[in-house]
Amino acid sequence: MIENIDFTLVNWSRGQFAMVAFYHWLFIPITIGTTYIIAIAQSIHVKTGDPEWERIAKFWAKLFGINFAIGVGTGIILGLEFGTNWANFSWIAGDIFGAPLAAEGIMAFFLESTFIAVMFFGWGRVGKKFHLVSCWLVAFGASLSALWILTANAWMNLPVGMNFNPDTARHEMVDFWAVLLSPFAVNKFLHTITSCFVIGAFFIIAISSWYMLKKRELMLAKRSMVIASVFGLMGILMVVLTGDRSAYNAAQHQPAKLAAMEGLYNGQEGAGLVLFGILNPGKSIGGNEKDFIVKIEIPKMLSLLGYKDLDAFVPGVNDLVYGNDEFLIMPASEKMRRGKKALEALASYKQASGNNDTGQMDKAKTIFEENYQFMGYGHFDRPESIIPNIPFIFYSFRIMIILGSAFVPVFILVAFLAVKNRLENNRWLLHLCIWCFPLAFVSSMAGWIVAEVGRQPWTIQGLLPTMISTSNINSTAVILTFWMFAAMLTVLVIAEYKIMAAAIRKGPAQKKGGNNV
Amino acid sequence: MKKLQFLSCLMLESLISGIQNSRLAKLLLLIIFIKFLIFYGFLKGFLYPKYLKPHYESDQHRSEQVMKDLLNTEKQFIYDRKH
Repeated sequence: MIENIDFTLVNWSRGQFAMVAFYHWLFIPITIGTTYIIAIAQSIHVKTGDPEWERIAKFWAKLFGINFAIGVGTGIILGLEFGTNWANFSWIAGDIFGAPLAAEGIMAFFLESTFIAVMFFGWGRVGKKFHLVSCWLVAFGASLSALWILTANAWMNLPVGMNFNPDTARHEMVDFWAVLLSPFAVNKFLHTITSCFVIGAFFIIAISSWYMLKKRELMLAKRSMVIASVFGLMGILMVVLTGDRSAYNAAQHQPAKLAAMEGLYNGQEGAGLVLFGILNPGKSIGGNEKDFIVKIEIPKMLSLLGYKDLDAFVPGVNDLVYGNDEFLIMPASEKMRRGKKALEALASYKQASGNNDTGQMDKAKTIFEENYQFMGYGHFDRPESIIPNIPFIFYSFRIMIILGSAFVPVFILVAFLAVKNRLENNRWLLHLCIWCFPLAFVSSMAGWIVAEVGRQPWTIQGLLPTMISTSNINSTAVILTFWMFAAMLTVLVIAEYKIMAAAIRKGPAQKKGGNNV
Repeated sequence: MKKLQFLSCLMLESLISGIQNSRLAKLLLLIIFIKFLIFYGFLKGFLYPKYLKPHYESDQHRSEQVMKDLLNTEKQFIYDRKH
């Protein structure tokens, strides 16, 4: 396969996974984010007995229900793709992925599915406290489901808690807690979940703003905006906090990603963080061209973010590719040499195993284990290949950061004006709030691009290149299914939009009590 | 145990009467049903095993194939960063 590697297959497989994940992600943050706001509104109702709060909770639960019903199962396609397009990866990482994905299935099924029925249809039928507990369990269940898949994803960025079995060509989990509690897993979960809170909050703020602009459902809109803006503000502050940790993690474990995020070609002590910049499109790795056409940066900030030291050295792309003796950075060519040694030792081990030569097996295994951490590099022959697409990551990172930063004052302003009951007079802000909902998605998607494209050329950081991860199948099948999935998912998104828009236009139930769903 | 049974019955009753009394719930249920029919029936049950899934005779065979892909470095290649 490898000597005839089909890049059409690799690229279409990547494209298909990205496309399905994109559609899947349109549903997830709304589901995760709004559940908490529904639970908060219902908690206030149970505490105060004010029926308006129940009406608010019911209305958002109805929209949540539409989103959940249409979005549920879109992740199944991603699961199928692991088997069809990424069979090598599935085999090599299957033992690690199996446990978290099984846990996700159990969580989703038992916690979410059971209590969602009570949340949707239990109004007035079950006790208020039991109904409230169900609302909170749905919220926690949705977040816990995400925990497992994000843990699996984090492992791809920082592979820990496993051993490679040379007999089966599989990574086998030896420490579940190391996988679950790795710095990447904890931070990725918190960063992603809180970004879902932000999107969920903007979903509610945007619809409430629309009601305010139309001078409809003013009480519902005002109260919803108070909860959503405070919830969203807490969410975005957590996103900023965990984003700082993401930069630190990238600096420690994925320096090529950090260098690409900053367009940093030559490493520096006291490196600055680029606030705004236009990369020189003619710049090449190792070339003497200027890095940027124009840039504005905060001095020393990148060193502080990445290493918690204002004067720390941050390696650039050139340092990572060609090495830097002063700062003890190994050149990629040396990693490639050691990677090839690991692969040769693995081949030797397999041959000795076939001949039942235990002496040679032990010898080969020792050499393999010494060079195992560079195994993935053995598949490359150009040191420059270890660097991801710099412009794509650089600009995606700027989009995420700029939009994310802009959301902080928006939430503060909305919360302040909502509490002061002065939102209705600021029509420009209401229009801005409507736009913030799709912009929050743009920011979130840009974040995923930084995380996933920034990890390239690896599926498992340093150990397994993306091109080795694909299945031995015909690329035509991948191209055909790409368009088939795209059509199916587009139909679902259109259905979501139509049903959701109709429910929003109709508004909440006017009568007290009764079933709102 | 009795309390759990009571709660389960209550949940089921809420679910059934909730669906019966709501047009939107019926529509959403229909969408879920069609979707799962496509995902599980068509994709997972037919298309995936028959045309898309790479065929391995056993885990041993699959392991050998993966190992072959991992070790075949005779002709190196260049990862195309433009993609």
